[in-house]
Amino acid sequence: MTPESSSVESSRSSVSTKIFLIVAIFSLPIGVLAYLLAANYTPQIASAQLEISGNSLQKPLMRVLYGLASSKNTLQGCETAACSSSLASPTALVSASLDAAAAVNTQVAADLNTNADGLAKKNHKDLALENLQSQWKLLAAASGKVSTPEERAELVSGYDHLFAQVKQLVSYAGDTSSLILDPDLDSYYLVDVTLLAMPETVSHIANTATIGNRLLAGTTANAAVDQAALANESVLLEESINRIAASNSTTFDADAANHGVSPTLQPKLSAALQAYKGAAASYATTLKAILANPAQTTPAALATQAAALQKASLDYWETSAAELDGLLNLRIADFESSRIQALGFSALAVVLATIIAFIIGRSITKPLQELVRNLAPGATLLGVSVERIAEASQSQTPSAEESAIICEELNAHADNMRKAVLELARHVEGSAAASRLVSEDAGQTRS
Amino acid sequence: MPSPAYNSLVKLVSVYVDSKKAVEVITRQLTACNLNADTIATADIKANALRFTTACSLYVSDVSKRDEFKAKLAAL
Repeated sequence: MTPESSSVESSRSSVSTKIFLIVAIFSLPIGVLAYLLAANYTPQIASAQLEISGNSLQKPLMRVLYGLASSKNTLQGCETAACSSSLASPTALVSASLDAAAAVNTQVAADLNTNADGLAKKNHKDLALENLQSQWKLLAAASGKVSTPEERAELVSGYDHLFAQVKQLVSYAGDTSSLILDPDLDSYYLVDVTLLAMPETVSHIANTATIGNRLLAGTTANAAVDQAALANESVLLEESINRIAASNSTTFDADAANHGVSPTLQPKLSAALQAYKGAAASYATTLKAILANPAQTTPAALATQAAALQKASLDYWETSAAELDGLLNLRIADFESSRIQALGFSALAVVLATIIAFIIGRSITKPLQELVRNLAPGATLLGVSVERIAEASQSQTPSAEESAIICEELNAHADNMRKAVLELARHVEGSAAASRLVSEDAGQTRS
Repeated sequence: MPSPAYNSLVKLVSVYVDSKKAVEVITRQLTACNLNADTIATADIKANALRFTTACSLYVSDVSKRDEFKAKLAAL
């Protein structure tokens, strides 16, 4: 299309079409901005959903960790003959939790790269749930026939190995689900608890129970070294619990400023933390007693205290994970609401602009239509008038009445034209220009 | 209220000229003849037929339609 033909096409469009096109052109950036705004929310929502997927896999994996720690703790505190029956409960917990993790993994593996292929690509083939389940089946079978200290030590070593692998998988899922990069202060500090601090705490509880058991049972190779290690692990455990309490406090403080207040966060988590800290305080007292005088405590009593603390920490972890889900769901709901608002307001702006443009368009086109209606018959009038005047001049017998009527109609049309021009001037240039034209017209008429 | 004759005249002229323009032209002729829309009769139209046909024909470019209009006005 040449510029000339384009110009002709453009000039053929009606004024209302042109106004509509102007509105459409100005609506276009609004549409683009609305799209970009909505598109900006989409990855944030997807990221929060990915975090929820990660958290859903963490839940059974953390139960596996607690189950393994409990198994180890039970194994150290039991008499060899009674170990098999004592291990039944934690063994069942680990088996059920691994099955649950495998079931969750079928749904989230593609997103979290926790299937065998995804793990193999990251050089973590040994962390595949199928592999962990196979290892556990061997350990569970071995736990039913512990009869010698050597077999017990071998089983503990197996628990430790599996514990380390599950802990590594927890960390891996935390990375691939972006939990580790959580962008909000409240959920970030909750992730710090569930993903980082709690697995460490479980390790510290298990380690203190192991060392304490050695000191109490008199099986230590070097009492001084074990005492130093127990003191060290006790401090680390205390530090972990203090860190958890501090993270909780920050979570509570930041909750209101991040996508609204979660109504269950503070009441549920505070209660769970209090129970956890209570169990931790009792356990710390027992550890101090062992360090002061091992004769005051028995291996069974230590195992009971450790199991109670593990149970309290599992309860606390379960509460934290549930509250983390709550915060993530609040975030998603907030983003979705903001996205709908952004799109809604944009649509409203476009509709309002269209309505206003329609009203303005009507205010422009209506007087123009009136002008066209007034002026359009003018061409016929002039043509016929000229024709009649020509006829009259040829016949040399002009009818005076006919001439007068023609003159009247021409005058009326001239008046209409004048009014039309003034109206047009008023619309195009405003009232001041129209007044100027009136005075100029009056001056010309006088001269 | 406009008389039936006036309404007939407007209806006839509106066939050939835009209806608003028809009313405008007819109103001008009525003023020139000292007549008004409420009282005008068919006899008044016939008495001033030259004025009505001349004025209204000025807005009809087609000669045959002009003649047709004149004939219909005469037959009112």
